[in-house]
This record gives sequence, C-alpha cells and structure tokens, in this order.
Amino acid sequence: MARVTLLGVTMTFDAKQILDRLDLDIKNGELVALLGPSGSGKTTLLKLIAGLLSPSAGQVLFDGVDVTTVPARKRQAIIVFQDHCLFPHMTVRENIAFGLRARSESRLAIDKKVSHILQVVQLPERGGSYPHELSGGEKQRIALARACVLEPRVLLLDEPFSNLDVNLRISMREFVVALQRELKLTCVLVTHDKEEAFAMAERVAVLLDGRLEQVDTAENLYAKPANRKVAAFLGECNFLPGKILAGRFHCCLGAFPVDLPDSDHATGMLRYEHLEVRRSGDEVRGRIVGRAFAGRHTTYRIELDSGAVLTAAACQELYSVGDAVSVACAERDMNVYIG
Amino acid sequence: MHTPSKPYLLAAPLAIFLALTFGVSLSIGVSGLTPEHFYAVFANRDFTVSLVATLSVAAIATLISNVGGAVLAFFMLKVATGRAWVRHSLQLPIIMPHLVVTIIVFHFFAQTGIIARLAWWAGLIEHPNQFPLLVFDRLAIGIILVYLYKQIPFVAMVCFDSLKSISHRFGEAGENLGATPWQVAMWIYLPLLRPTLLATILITFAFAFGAFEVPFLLGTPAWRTLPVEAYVLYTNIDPGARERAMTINVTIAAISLGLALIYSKTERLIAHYRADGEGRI
Repeated sequence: MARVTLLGVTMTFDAKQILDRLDLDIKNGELVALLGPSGSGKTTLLKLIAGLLSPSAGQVLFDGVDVTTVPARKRQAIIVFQDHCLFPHMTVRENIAFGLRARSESRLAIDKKVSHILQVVQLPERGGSYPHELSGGEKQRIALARACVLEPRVLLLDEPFSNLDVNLRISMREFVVALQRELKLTCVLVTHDKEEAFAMAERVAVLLDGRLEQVDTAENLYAKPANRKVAAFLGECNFLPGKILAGRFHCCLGAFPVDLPDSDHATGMLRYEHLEVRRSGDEVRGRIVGRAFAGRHTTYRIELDSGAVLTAAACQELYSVGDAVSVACAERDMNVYIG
Repeated sequence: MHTPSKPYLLAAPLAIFLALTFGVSLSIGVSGLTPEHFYAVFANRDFTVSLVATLSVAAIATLISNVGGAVLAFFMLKVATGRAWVRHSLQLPIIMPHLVVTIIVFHFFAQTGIIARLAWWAGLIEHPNQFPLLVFDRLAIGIILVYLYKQIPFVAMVCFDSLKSISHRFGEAGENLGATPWQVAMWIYLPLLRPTLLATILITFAFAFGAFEVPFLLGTPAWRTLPVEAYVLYTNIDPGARERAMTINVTIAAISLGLALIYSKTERLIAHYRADGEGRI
C-alpha cells in the first residue's frame, strides 16, 4: 500500500490537452473514485499512475517518492482492466501466476500464493479453466486475483463493472470493497457511474474535461457541488438566474441567505427532488405544464406565474397537466454560484 | 462465383498429375507403380542424398525465414506500425517471381557477381576464386538466399497482421504485472502467434520442399533436390528412368499432401481461436 500524490500532472496528446494540472492526494489504504464522463481523461490518469504513460508535466509520488520515471513493470501499481485482459492462452492459475513468474518467485511460493488468492476470490475450483470458460463475474474475480496476488502498492480499477449485468455489478461492488478493506489496499476506481462511485468510494474526485473539479465525500459532492459543471454532472437540477444583494440571493423562488459578495449575475442550483410541489399554499405559484413517470418518482415541468419553468421530482402526490400548484424549497438546498 | 463445374476445374491439375504419373507409365508398357518401385528408389543412395538434401534445405530456409519473419513482425509492431514504406518494402519481394529473384541472387552472389566485383575493386580479393562460393555451392546458400528473400517478408506480413489483431492491451497488462518486454513477447505474444506461425511454417516448408526452378538454376552438381532429380529422370531417354521419376513424384506429392492436411487442421485451430472472442488470432 502506498499514499499516492499527483502534483500538477498534465497530459498532452497531439497538442490536445487531456489532463490539466491535476493535484490529488490519496491516503494509504483509501478507496478514491475518479468520476467523469467518457473522454474526460480518467483512464489516461490511471495509466499515468500505473506508469503505462508518462505525463507531459508534473509528478507522480508514491509515499512521497517521485516515481514519474519509474517504468510500469517496477511501479507495482496494478490495473484491473475494463475488459479483464486475461491472457486467453493461459489457465486461470497461469494468469494469476503471471506477475509472480515475472518476479522470478519460486514455483512453491507461486503455487501457495495462487491457491490462497483463489480462496480469497472464492473460486478455488476454477484454477484449471481457461478465460473463455468463465462467466463475466468469474473473469472479474480472476482479474482482481491476478492483481491482488502481487500485493500491489496501488490497485487501479478501470471501469471494472461496466461489462456486468446489474445484479452482478452490485454484488461485485460489495465484493471489491470487502476485498479492499480486508487487504487494506490503496485503491483508485475509475468510473462514469455516479451511483457506483458514491456506493464504493470514501472520496470521489470529479474529473471533467481533464480538470479535477472537486474531491470530496459523496454526500458533500451531491449536496454542495463546487460549481455548475459538477452540479449538472452529478444529478438533474434546476439553474435559477438571479442576483446577490446584501447577503441574499434573489430569484424566482424568493430570497435565500448566502455568504457571497453582491453580484448582478448569480445562479442558484436546486435539485429536482428538493423543489417541493403542493396543491396550494402561500409559496410561489404556478401550474403543471408537463409530466413524465420515471418509476420511483414522477417529474413535473412547472411554469411559474413569473414565467420561469422549473422541474420537480415528486414521489407522493400525483398531479395532472394543467393543475395549479405552489412550489417552495428549503434554504439549505439552494446552492448559489457567481456568474 | 460457384458453378457446378468449379470442383472439377479445381481437381483437374491433380487428375492430370495422376494421369501423367500412372496413365503414361502404362502406355509405355509398364504395369504401373508397385511397392517394389518404391523399395528400389528408396534403396538408391542418390535418392537418399536428394531426400536428405531437400529436407535440409527446406528445413533451414523454413527455420530462418520464420524466426526472421516473426522478429521483423515484432519490430514492425513496436517501431514501424502505420509506416506505409515498411509495408510497401515488404510487399515488393512477395510479388517478385522466384525466377527474377534467382537471377538477382546469381548476379549479386556469384563469384563473378556484383559483390565479388566490388570486393575486387576494394582490393579485398584479387581473383574471382577467392570470393566464397555462394551459388552452385554444396551448402545451397544461393538457393536458401532466394527462399529467404521471398519468405521472410511473407512471414513478417502474415505475423504482423496477426499481431495487430491481438489486443495491444495484453502487452500493457503484461508490462503492468511486472513483465519485461522480452517476457511479454515470449509469454504473451508468441504463444498467441503460434497458430499463425504453424501455418507459415507449413507453407514455407511445403514451397521450399517442392520448388523446382530455384534449385535447378542455382543448385550444385554434387547433389540434386527431389524435384530436380525427378525432372532429370523424367527427361532421360531411358524409359526405365521414368518409373523412378514417377516414384519420386508420388513421394513428393505424398509429403505435400500430408503438409496440406496438417495445414487444414491448423486453419481449423485458428478459426476456433478467432471464434472465442478473447483477442486470440
């Protein structure tokens, strides 16, 4: 296990900047999720940590020691690839033993470690199978075993569950978290799935367009996103234009206390589920102009008397298009950004 | 396009070969090939020398061309992927006829050839005899050079295409797990390349084993390869020599057929690997 520190890591391909001056500190034994959409640079960052790519600028440190120029084979930062990358011509045991063989460990030691890790991943009977004989979940476990048997300083998971069906994905998440805690591994999980990142990671780093926008716990990220981009990426929300005057943000929903300087151009962010909808009341009034059933909740498009159109997600009372309603929100749910 | 006559057209060369081998022999009053003909030919020392020489030349050319071609393919994958000039420079020897390459080898490597003349011009030799014998030689160096010129690019191109179809991520995974580039090549890529190499080994060996014009033009008078021996016997005015020629032809055909059967099995193996969806070739 190692503490991983990225200092000003920048990556450029053909004059296109993939990663822009990233700083990140991952504690020893911590599981951090790198969350971002496709093309945001997540896998590039993972390969930089693993040493499969070299940064254009910046440093990668393990336990405070600069490993930027250390080749991948000596870095002990092992990736579990999205498509598992099990060697098709080797049995499960041979796949797991690959890294140990490369280290020239004795046959006896290799056999012992391989048998042990097969027990850990609960597939002791699959040692003689070939990868094409395994199910998706089994392949995933063997890929994990192949990485964990090397006792890596950092375990890097590159969208490891994206090829699995929903039920298997959930059980594999739980399995990986349990394994990470049991082995006390420093772990970086790359994913574009918010739910997966929130469920597994102690902290989530949001990577958008090559920039690390925010690193925080899942709860804080969701409730207090650092900016509009993060807010929009992490969940459906309303953006309300307004002004800040004397410590209060004024918008179509009223005035909300803020700790920001006065500004004529401010934006309030309110999650769909935080916009309360009622049949009547003294709050801001409007009418339902659209409705979409989404299973656990129903989303409503509400046109306020002021002309603003907002979206709310409600799971209790059902409204019809044309119904007169009033809307409100709690002060703590309103996030305000300058600009 | 498939037509009802296609299988017959494809089988026609084999039918002609069999007719010439057996039918002609009957027409000249011989009762047909019997085991005794084979015993007689196999007991003949010239045949044994020819068989060993032919197998040796084919084996050496096959070994060098496949090792060289595979190494060249790895080099292309690592260094020259996407460089069109590399591919074009390998395509040229493949499309060049063997006869042309034979003449090139003769002009370059004969004791009166271009290299010998350059050596004389540079003061390294004073007489053509001082230049090493590289064509018409007992070691068949000239013959092997022609095969290598044609076969190394062929093997390299086939292996390169196979290597490209193997996911490069296997190499990344191997390196990430701590393997050196040599270990990655030997433990991952070479085993995955094995079906392709088996096919190229069979193809190159079959060609070198059955080739006529190259050993005929560049071979030593000391011994003959089997196809040349068969040709010489067949053109002999002694009708009895034709029996020996036909026996040799049948032997060559039997060995070639055996190789074709092995190749067919290999093709199925390759198809199986391709079908498993795991990046195998």
